[in-house]
Amino acid sequence: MTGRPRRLASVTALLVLVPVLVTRLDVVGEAWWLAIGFAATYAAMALSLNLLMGYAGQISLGHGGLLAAGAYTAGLLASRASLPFAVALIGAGLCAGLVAFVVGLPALRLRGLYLAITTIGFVVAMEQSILQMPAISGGSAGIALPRPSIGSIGFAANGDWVAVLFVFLVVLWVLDQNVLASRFGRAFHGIREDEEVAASFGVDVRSFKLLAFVLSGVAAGIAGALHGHLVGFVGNETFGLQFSLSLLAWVIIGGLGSRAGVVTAAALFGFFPEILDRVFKIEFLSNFQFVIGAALLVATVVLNPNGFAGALRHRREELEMDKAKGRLGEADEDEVPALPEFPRTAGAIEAFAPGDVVLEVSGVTVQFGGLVAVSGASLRVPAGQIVGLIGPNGAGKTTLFNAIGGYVRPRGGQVQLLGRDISELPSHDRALLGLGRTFQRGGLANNLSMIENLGLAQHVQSDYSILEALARTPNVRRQERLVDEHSRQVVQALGLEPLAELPVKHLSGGQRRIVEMACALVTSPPLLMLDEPSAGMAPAAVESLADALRDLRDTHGQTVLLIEHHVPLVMDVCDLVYVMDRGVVIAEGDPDEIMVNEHVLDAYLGATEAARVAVPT
Amino acid sequence: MAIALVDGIFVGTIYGLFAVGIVLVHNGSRVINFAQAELGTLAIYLTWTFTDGRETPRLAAAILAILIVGALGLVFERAVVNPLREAPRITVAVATVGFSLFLIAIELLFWGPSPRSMQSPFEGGVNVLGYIASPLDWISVGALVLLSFGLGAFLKRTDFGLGVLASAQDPTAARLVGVRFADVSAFTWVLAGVLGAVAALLVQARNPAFGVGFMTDRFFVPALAAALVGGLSSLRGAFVGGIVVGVIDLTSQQLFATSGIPGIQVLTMFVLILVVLLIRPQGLLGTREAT
Repeated sequence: MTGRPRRLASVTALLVLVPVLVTRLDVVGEAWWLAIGFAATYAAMALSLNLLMGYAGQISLGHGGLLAAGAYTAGLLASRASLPFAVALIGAGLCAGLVAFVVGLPALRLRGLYLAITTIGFVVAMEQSILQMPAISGGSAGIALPRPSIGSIGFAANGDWVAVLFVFLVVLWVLDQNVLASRFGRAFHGIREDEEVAASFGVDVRSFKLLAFVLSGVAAGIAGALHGHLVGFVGNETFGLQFSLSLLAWVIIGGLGSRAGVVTAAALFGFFPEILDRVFKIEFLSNFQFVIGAALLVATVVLNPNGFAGALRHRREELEMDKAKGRLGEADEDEVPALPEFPRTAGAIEAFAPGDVVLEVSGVTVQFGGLVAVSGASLRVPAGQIVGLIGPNGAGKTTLFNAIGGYVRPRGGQVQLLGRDISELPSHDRALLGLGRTFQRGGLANNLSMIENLGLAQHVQSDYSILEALARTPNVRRQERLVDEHSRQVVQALGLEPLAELPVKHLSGGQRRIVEMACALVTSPPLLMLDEPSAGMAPAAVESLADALRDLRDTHGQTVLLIEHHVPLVMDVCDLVYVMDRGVVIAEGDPDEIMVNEHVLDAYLGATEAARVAVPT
Repeated sequence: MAIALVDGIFVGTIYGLFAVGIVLVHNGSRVINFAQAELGTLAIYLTWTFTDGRETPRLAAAILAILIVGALGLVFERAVVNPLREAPRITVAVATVGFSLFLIAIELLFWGPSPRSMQSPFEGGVNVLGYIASPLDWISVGALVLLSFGLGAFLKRTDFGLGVLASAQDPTAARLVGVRFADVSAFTWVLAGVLGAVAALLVQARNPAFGVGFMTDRFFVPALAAALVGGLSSLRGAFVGGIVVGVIDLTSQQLFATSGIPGIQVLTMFVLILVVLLIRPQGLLGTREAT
């Protein structure tokens, strides 16, 4: 054992030995250990909520319902089915995971405020109805959860049980770490930041959202059961609405997304009220903690929504940003480096024969309410060519892009990628088949670093399961090492090493465009769709963008479909140009033909006849 | 059944009052006010304090409590909602959760955890199909009608009111044509406080006992359901939603009385919320907006 495992083992040993030995010495009262036990179980609960809210960005005002599901299951399995503690605890995790799955189902259609409403409804229904059903709890009396015993070893002394809690807390902490450092963690982050962007990298948003709910639910179920065994009892109000809101407050104060932040905050809010109440018997002060908690929550939200840990991180990032800027120099921002080629994804077509068609769009119509945004649009993108799509604002270019990518549902028409009809596939499957794209509004996860974004972009290239990720098997390590190596190669090729670990929101507009293109290219998709890549770039950078695109095509044979407002760029690099106006494709041809096409001039300059008349000669 | 129906309508007026508060704040700040019901609990505690062992007339105490809670709404708006006007809405929603927790904490701190009780100032009432409607019931009907229709008319007929409605549709556009977001937002939050207080004081007279977090536990979810059924943006919708939810609430209790399921009305509310959000997010009266 070396390094991390060794450190982990010594920390765990210490966390077990200290409470067990100190309890034997009897120098610290039972009440102290009870308070420390509260700190440990609240910390575990915070980890569970943090996974859902901090990583995956799904708000839950009703997490207590999941804690209760676990605690009640553990109690019922132990008392009525007389199952051993370990089995009952697994049952608690599974049951809460199942409940979380059901609670997560509305999240497939609802976000933000509406998800908050359904979760609050869930916990109130648990507290005031389900947990009081006679079949579950014999009315509102609640359920006893005596401390388990393993063979002759009992855990009646609080200190002994705290040692058990510490072990569980370390395990949860490590599992949380493992998930976060896997493709699952990156996918959760991607969903939190921007669901469409995550889907464009091949993340199945719906499944991963539900997975986040289930993982969080399992952790919550175990944490709830452990807490129940700590206090010996769980009632319908133990983990009711008010507890749920308090738990939410603690993780936000600590800093959503920060493991250490949420654990610290929740542990403090678990420890101090108990100590004040039971050891020092100052009821007024222990009640005062609610005022402090609530005031801190409001202050956190107003002053720094990312919580205490977020504030620290932000300060550190600013310092690093200054350093990185110094190392990069000023000139680099205006230059688009040649985009490197990456190993082809397994299954992708190696080379195209001349005349192959990569993308064929026929008769696609998109309608929003009464508005027809795209009407019967058809286009084809031949292999190894750069095809431009231009048109005035509101012509329907981006909507057509979204229809090709599967982000909006067309009313009619067909989209074929490499001869395969993909019209019915969800967007993440289209990404999987080799449709890389960038977004006009920016297609990066802004709060993630360049390395993390590139890792997210390689989502489809790892294939290990969630169980493997939790255990961090050698297979996971190997695949993760490959992903990391790729990402670092790309960063190096782009010449942006000093900025590699900083959230991409700190990058300049031009740099973000470049990183976005690199992300779309990192899996070497047969088709690269760029939506206004020159937006936000300095004029000098646009010229080097043209060079980079030409290089992509000529050196790597990359096929590109390009939406651009910058017409000179399109005319410069494109082999074939389509022009859209008011939802209709009005012209196609090579750049020279398009430049003199009357329909195109009409669309851009207004009616040519009217224009001629209006201009005095 | 008739009793449940009439009772449901009267309870529905209370839900409606809360729902009007939720809708107003949603219009002004595009956020769900999770403290809406708890503002009411504080009003009950204040009224209790003003009258307990003192000669203060109940009405004066109630009005004072309503004003204080309205002012509290204003303070929260100035200190939190307005500074966060550019922040993501979910951030502001979390702040209102903090507000709710703060109110609960204040109640716990000053009045302690044990429940208290306060007798209704009125006795007797009018028999409506077997249900004895007390004067407070009639007040709450009057208040709801006045507020949802009167306020609705005020919002539609005055420039300021149109500003309130416009800022719900498009805050930027409303600001561009000269509506001050700050005024609109402040106005809706004061009213949220007042409405919460009025509704809570009316409901308190129906069940004399009250405790910490009482209104949130018992009334917030049905009030949310009422606002959602009404479409979350129309005051008249909130009025209808309140009545509908009240009737569903009481009749479901009646229908499932023999089922032995405790808190069946809470389950009904949860299902109702899910159904509305997933199947008819525009509410009963609203029309689907083009996206």
